[in-house]
Amino acid sequence: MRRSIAGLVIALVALGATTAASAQATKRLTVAVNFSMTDSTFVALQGLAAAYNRQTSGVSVEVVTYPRYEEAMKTKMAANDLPDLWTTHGWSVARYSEYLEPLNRQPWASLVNPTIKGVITDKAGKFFVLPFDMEVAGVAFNRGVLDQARVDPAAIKTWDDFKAACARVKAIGKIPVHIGGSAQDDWTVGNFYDWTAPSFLITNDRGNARKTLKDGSFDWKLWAPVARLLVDFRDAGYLNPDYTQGTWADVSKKLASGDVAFAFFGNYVIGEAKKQNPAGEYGFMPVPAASTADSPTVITGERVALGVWRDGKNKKEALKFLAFCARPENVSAIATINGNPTGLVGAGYASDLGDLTPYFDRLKGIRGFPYFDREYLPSGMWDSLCKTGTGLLANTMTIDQAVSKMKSDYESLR
Amino acid sequence: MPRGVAAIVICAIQLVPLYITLTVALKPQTDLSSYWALPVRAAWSNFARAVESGGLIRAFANTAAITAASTALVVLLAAMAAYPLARSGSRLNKTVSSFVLSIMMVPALSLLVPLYVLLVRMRAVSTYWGITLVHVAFNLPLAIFLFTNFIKTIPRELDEAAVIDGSSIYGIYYRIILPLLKPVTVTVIILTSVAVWNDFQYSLYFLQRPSMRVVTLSISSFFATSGSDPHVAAAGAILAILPVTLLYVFLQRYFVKGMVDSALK
Amino acid sequence: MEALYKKANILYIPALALFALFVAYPFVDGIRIAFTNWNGFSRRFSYVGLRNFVRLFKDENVRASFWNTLLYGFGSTFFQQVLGLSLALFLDKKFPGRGITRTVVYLPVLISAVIMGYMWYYLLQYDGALNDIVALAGGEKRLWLSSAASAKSFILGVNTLQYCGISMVIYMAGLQNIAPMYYEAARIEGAGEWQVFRRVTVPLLYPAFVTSITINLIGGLKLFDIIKALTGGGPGYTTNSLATLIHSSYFASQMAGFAAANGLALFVLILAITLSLQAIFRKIEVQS
Repeated sequence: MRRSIAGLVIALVALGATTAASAQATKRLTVAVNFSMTDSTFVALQGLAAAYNRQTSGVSVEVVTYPRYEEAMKTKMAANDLPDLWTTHGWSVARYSEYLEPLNRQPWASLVNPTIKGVITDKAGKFFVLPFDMEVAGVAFNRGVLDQARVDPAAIKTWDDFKAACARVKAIGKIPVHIGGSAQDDWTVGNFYDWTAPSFLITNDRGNARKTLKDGSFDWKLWAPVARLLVDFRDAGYLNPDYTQGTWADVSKKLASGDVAFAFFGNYVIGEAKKQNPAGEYGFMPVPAASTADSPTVITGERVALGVWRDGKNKKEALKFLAFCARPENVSAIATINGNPTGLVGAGYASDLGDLTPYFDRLKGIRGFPYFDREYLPSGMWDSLCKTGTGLLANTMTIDQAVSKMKSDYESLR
Repeated sequence: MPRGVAAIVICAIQLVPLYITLTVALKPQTDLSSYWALPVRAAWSNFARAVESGGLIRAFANTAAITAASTALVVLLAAMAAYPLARSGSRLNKTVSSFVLSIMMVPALSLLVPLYVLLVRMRAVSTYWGITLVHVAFNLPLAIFLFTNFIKTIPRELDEAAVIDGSSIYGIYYRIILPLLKPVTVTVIILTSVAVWNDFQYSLYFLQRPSMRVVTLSISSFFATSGSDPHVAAAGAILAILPVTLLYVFLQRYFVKGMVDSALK
Repeated sequence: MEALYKKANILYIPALALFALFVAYPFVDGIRIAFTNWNGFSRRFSYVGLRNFVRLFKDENVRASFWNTLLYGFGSTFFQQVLGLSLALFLDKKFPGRGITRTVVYLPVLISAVIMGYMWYYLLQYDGALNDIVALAGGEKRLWLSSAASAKSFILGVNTLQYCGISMVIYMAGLQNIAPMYYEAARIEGAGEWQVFRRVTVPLLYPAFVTSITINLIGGLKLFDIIKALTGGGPGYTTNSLATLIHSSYFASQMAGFAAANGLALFVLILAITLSLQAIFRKIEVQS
């Protein structure tokens, strides 16, 4: 027994020695992204890194992801130990700017798409990410199902119109809306709020809570109609029957199989659906308004955006890699995968929007608003949206309880 | 015969999640049949995709190395620490014992961030030695507890006889006590290595380079975030539990005996 | 002899050093964090006195998680003892299939709890294996994890099933260690099955009870992985244990100070419970 302990200790020492020996040579750049390894965006970024590694010596770029990406990034910020570059999923200003290098002086800085420029710029006018693409999103749908139910998406202007459309879809035995909804994928419910809350609180130019949400004087009683929309959908039977256990994977699967009419996600849901049923016809429409006094709108925001660690040892190399990423062919490739417009504009920057082109063309004159939680709620409240949402769906929470939970989290996180 | 029937029912209940995961793993994503149904034709490609995109081979090697190193250190340090704690009932040692016991109750989560900050200062994040020391620190208390209880069952007369023969206290420990510790060492090795092999929390935060990823991390990244394929995830899960399962089936006697030796003094 | 043993104290110094660095120091640092409004990642924070501790007593979710923690801790410990002891008694006699049954019951103990949770999820999904049976029996498909009571039962059940093997194995060994003469003596005195069990088996299994209950209780009170994999603490906030609540307030809600205060509370809770348990065990030991 004594001998076996000694053997194991020797093995341990040897292990330490080999890892120390292999840790020299080229500079390693770590790019952390919030897409899982099987995701097409991840694969594409990996391809970008491989191409860069082939043409550059002395640097090796490695694309990585962490399970529970946001949590991992928070621990890393806490320790001021960050990857050289990382994707900021909409939080480049509110959460990450303290740790990100301002990029205003980069050669491509003037090319940032004006539609997204405001969202990624802080009060002092600095911005911190290279936006590959830009999300312009509404309610995604399966065209075939809508045709079958005789629903014209272009005619849906308000939530009442939308509910009427849902009733028709339900009448032909299909599921009107797949919300996802499981507690693990509770972000699907949070996303529903991001899509629907602006219509009640933000988009109406003649009466909205843009100011009060930001200055802290928001009257949370106004949240009740937002919460009620979700409950109404559930009570009317417009959601997937497994609305407390449906997963994100189910959403695209059912949209692809023609069982579901609408999904409240960005166009990436269409990308996933196409992977499973390329023959399906998909499209998207602006998010309905709360009343006829207002008009439908779209959600805009960053989708794939990469920033550089301000205190990183390899900052210079990281900025070089970023400049490589900013080339027209690279930006266009990533944007095309997501079915989104490019985040930089100018000669050579164009994504192939494919089948979605007509739907983008129809957006002329439609107003765009940023992701609700990123713009109007303090960082940390995303979870409150998700959790109160699943609580409402499962009926473990009343609308009043959801409102008061939102209120108390808002007050303690401000 | 009812005994046999009952046994079958018990086994079936315990094996159901494994069986279901296996059928899911063997079906392509297009197969929408019930999870209970066996696949018409096994889709081994799920396993290939799990190995490929999850980097499972590398993950297995990493996990094995970390497990071996942590286990060796736990055995070494715990076997040392337990001797004085088992033999001397001084107030100091009683305090030390209850300190060790109370560490077992510290929820890892309450320490996560301060621990992470500490490891960064030590330049130990994403290093094999960093994660190994963390595993050792948190698996030591149980090991010390088991060793202490075991040593208490070794008659003190053995020590006393050796003292009369002129042995030093370290001599007694090395020549008399250590050789007797084999059974409890097997227990500690098994408990520690299973705990380290299955660890998810610590590895998640302290091993962030993908080349250093361990098995549980690889698997959970299949299940986590967008666009995952449940069939590939199931295949990954099956592969992840395979080594421990096989080891257990073949070395079952030790797994069970170890647990038991520790329980009954 | 005592003086000699004192010299051996040097042997626990390496272990203590490791604890000081990796447990005690972060623990103290965690206490400091509990008095701040730190969000968990920014360099900016301030000290807020007892605010986080006050919130512990006022927050509805803390209260719910507290009761859930007790439910998971004592609930699974109770069922694990019942199951473990029954299985041990069942497998105490030799019969064909005994070895395999023991192997199978103990197997889940060795599987990572996160992965076990994911595997069960395939059963509990709406289109999952359990609902296939329900549908086959002509029932309506159910959302197993959708009500608080049902979700908590599954967490409790999965945890119990996964780890009842520990208790089983401990009790089996305990039973084998009881010399047959005790049983014979009891029978000669005319005791029935039940009386033999109460007068002979239970007291002689005493050390096994202590170990098994202690291991299961500490594990149950710290329950985390299975909850994360099955319900993520939801729907809403209903199935959180204190451990998962700490996790989500740390990372999702960005209230690191509050989470640290919560961590201290969980530590005190577990400490208090195990200490009183030990006191109870000692009392019983003295009495018998």
